[in-house]
Amino acid sequence: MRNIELKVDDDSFWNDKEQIIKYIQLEDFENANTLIQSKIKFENNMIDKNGDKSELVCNQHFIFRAYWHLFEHFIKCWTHLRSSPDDSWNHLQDCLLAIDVLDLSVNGNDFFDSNMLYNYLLKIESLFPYTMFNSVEYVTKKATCSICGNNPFSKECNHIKGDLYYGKRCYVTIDEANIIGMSLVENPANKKCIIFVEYDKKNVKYSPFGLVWQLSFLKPLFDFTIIYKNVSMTRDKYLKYLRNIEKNPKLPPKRIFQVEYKKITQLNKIGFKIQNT
Amino acid sequence: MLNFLYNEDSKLETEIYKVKNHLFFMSLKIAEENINFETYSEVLSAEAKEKIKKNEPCIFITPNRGWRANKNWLYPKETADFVKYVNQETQQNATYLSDPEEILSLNNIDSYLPIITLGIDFILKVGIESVVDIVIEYLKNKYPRIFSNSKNQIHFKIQIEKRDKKSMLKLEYDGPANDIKNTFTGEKISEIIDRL
Repeated sequence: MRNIELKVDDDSFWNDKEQIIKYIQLEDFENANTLIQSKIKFENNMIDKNGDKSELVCNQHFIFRAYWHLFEHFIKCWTHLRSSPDDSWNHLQDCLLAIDVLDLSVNGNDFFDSNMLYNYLLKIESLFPYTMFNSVEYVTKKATCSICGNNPFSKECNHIKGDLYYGKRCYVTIDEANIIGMSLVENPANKKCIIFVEYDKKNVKYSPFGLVWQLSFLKPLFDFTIIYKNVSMTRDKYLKYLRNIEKNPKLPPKRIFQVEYKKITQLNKIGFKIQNT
Repeated sequence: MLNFLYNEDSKLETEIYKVKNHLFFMSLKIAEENINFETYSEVLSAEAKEKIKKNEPCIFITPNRGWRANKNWLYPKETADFVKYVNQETQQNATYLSDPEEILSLNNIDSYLPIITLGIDFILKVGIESVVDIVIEYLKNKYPRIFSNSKNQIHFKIQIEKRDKKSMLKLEYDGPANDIKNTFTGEKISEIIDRL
């Protein structure tokens, strides 16, 4: 609700941002992580230092910290794509949550390229086999505001959930609740509430995470397009494509990379084409 | 630096969803209901009682009863934030019709706003348009991306007291956020006022 205006006095933000993106694109995750951790430490220090002096400064640093966290989770998401895609999903959701914080800043869209990152992450999300999620319906009887400790419905509490107050994000803790029911929904409140998919971790490419596995052979933070095609493929043809990818796992980013196959989890015969651009 | 991440794919999907949604669903339902402020007499808070008595132009945040055979009066979880937003960021005043005791959280990402009850005096002095604008501004501030994503639906009800003060006109909106403005057109609002 309370939009925060961000200001950067020196070039260090832009330089570090550019450097981190470059490291990620070159898949030098170790250096990227070191730089990200130093930035997170710096933002934490700034929040502690200004804790009771300037609310605006604290909130600004909170937003910057969320930006660095976004890249931290993105690296984890990308590195897990091939080995444990279900962990990768959790980190992808953390990236999207970090973008929620960036949206609190007035000039966020241009400052962090958050729109572009958001669309890119949504495309990665669409390759996962999760289409239905668990979701709970409940009646809250007692709740507490994280900032003032009062009931969020009482007149004493002026804090709006999701807003920043002295470098802290307001949330509501549910102390007492009755669960009414559980449902399977397409658009849940929390996308981490997945239905577990059992698969052979040694053979991810033949699992419902086949699309995600293929994505891992592309370069991170380079766009790819998904073209929907009404083409169904035979199993043999599909496996042939997979074998070809296996032979050339490190495709250069600009080279056209085309795969047509049937999405395993989809019942209708829709084929996909992933193309690195 | 990240310019190459921009792609039109997601935009196209949203457009297709929008057209489908527009063809098969009507977002706004208008119906007359045999309820008035007295219907809530058993739960009315002292503050609300006084404001109704004084005919103060106020946005009354109203609980709902009968959710899946639940006999208690429930507010949706978005209520507290909406009330604080109205009182802190707008010139209007929002009051709970009854003291909130139980909060209902539903199971998807859709935004369920509380029922807004307006007295006839509010309509004559302030107007329906300003309430619709408050809802839109609230959503814009809280969920900036909701207007570009048609899959997230908004659900809200506005109950308006009729001139005879015996019944109310219920406006029920279930649809995407970016359709609210197009639904509550000047023509529609004058049609609603004529029915009061």
